[in-house]
Amino acid sequence: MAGKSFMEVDGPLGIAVLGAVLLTVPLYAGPFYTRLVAVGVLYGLAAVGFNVLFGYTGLLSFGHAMFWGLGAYGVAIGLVKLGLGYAGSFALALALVLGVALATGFFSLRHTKIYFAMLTLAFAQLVYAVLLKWRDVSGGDEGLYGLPRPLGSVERFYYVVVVAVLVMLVAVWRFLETPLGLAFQTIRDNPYRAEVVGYPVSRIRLLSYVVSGLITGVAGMLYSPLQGAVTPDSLYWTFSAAIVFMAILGGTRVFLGPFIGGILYVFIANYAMDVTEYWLLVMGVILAAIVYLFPSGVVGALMKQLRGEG
Amino acid sequence: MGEKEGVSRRDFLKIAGTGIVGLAIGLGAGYGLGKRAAAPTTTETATGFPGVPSKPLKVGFMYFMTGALGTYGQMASAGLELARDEINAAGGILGRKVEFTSKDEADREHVIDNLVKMVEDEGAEVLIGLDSSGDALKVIKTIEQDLQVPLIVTHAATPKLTECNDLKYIFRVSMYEEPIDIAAAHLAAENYPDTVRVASIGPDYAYGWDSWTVFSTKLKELLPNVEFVDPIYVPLGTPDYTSYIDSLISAEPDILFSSLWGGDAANFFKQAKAKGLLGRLKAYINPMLGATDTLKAIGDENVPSGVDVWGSGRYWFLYPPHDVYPFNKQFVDKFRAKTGEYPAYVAGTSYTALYALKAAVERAYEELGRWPDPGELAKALEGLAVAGPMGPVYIRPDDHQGMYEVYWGKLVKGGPEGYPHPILKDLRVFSPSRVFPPPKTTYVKCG
Repeated sequence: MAGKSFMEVDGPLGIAVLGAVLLTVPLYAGPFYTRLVAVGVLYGLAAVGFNVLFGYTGLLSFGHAMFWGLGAYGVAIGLVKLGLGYAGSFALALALVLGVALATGFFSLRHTKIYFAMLTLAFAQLVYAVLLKWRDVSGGDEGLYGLPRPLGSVERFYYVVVVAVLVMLVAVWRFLETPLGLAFQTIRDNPYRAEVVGYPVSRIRLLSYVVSGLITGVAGMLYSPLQGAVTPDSLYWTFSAAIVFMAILGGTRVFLGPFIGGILYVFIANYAMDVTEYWLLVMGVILAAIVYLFPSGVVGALMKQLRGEG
Repeated sequence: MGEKEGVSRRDFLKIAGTGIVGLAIGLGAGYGLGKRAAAPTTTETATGFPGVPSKPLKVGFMYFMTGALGTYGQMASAGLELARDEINAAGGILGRKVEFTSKDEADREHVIDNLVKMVEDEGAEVLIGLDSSGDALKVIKTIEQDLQVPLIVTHAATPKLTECNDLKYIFRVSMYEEPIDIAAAHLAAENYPDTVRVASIGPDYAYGWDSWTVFSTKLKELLPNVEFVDPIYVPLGTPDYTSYIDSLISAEPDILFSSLWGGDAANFFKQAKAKGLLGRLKAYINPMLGATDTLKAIGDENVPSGVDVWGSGRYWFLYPPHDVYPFNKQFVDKFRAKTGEYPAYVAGTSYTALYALKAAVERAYEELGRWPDPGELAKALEGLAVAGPMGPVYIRPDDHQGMYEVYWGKLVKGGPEGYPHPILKDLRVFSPSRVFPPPKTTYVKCG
């Protein structure tokens, strides 16, 4: 019984409470903080996507900015270069993320552990280089700009972002509770036993990689209309590292950990930048402190308290 | 976590119920906070000007303040501070003191968020800045649709900003790439009419490609028989140019056009001189050579003889000549007194931006009798003429682009003239009507 109620806090119950809080933000936060929360929510979803692969399946990707960036570019190319409208552009972006996820996953998953991480980093930098050089399609280093935003203002688009992200969170949580989703954890904990029991381990890993990429890609797809522009920075390797940071900050063994981690990341960065131009130093110290003091992340530590394990 | 598959209907209802309660709590809290936040803004007449708020005028600026390009930001902010101190000492803008808030453009992924923050969180009423062309383009939507406050660009030089976009709130007081490159083509055609082969080396990104497009297209119009060697593009921050220099030597060009800038321009120049490339040319033309930091890095000892080295920039501290245009001399003297250095071009353009703002506010006030709202202020910037160290700047209403004269000068040793670095002499000056394309046209592809 205790396990069940804990699961609800970290699942539908937690999502519902978060959703309720998030939906009221524009009423009191003012335009800047509303926007900041929108960015945080999207970072959070990206980190949740990353964590499907890392926390649940045991594979560290160092290239998740690729999915974020491909989602963002897919929508931008659809809107600006092809004039596809929102639905068409989102479909294009989804197809792009799916295709690249299948292709890079097929090759990266020949290995696990650090070798897998290096391959994901390499593929992400490859896609980065392609977008940087393929000027006619991607706008090169200037990127694509002047994207329209559904519903116009940031305050109104905020609701689109939050509702979409909440729906995604519920869907991902439910998926992870299915036998297939639970198989991710089995493979994480003991791939050899999973293999012996009869799980098609490499195919399940590929599935996890693709699902993970799609979730992060959807976050990127919502990000480019929010910003009104997309540049190659969005899939540079430093953003992949930031996604890893967010997940660890929140906690990788709790479902909502990376989501909260994404929101926290945005706010910590915002305040750190006020204090110093060398704010990345502050972020580094925080990351080190989290790893030493709360190895299970901020939300992970909180959950332990709730469960009385503290 | 074994016992269940999915959420039952009862669980769902429970959860949904919790959500609704949470929503109600949030709404209540939000309503209370919202009421508190909406404090009335009062308009007083403490400034001595009726209809002018008494609180200081907050201006937000953004440049590269750290990293390899940090010197640009420091020079630009020094120019702004000089203008601010002068304006405040003379009573402010319609009695309002000018205050700054700033952000570091080196946080590339936060450029948009930080502009929004300065306006919506820190109360900036006007924005100034931006070094990177990519950043200037990517914030168009944010400025024009979300923030709707004037942004005066003082450095980013892509033609696309003003020529490919319909702007209401964004202006540029600094020279952009295209007139300088067009003037370069005139310079080459007039001084070296028997030129046969032209080579080029530039940075491998939009600025490098666009500069070559403009220069080569214009030069081909002026000298139809000219041949172009395939342009060479190199990554920013390249330390060693040996292989590029070898292939440039074997291409045997008459003229070498280079859009390398900053430390890259200096490194390439020194290596090209050492390997004898410069000595084989009739002319070396670099639109970004007239930058004091680059000239300092080159040093008098590397000024070659027997080849014409031409440089330009967006403002040169010795033009207009100090004897005919004392305004420039005063600016240079004040800037040196403040920083101990000769002003880089970004200092001249940022200084001009703040005075353009002042002039626009006063112009709008003449007509309205009160402080202008952002839209009225933007309107007043259109067609404005303002004195800057580079001479009078006219902000063309059609595309919001500042127009002033383009100079090209020959590189000579600065020591004999009393300067700590090489300088540009024998200036050739091109009037705006000759080298500015008509509004909303460019040799560069917009899409």
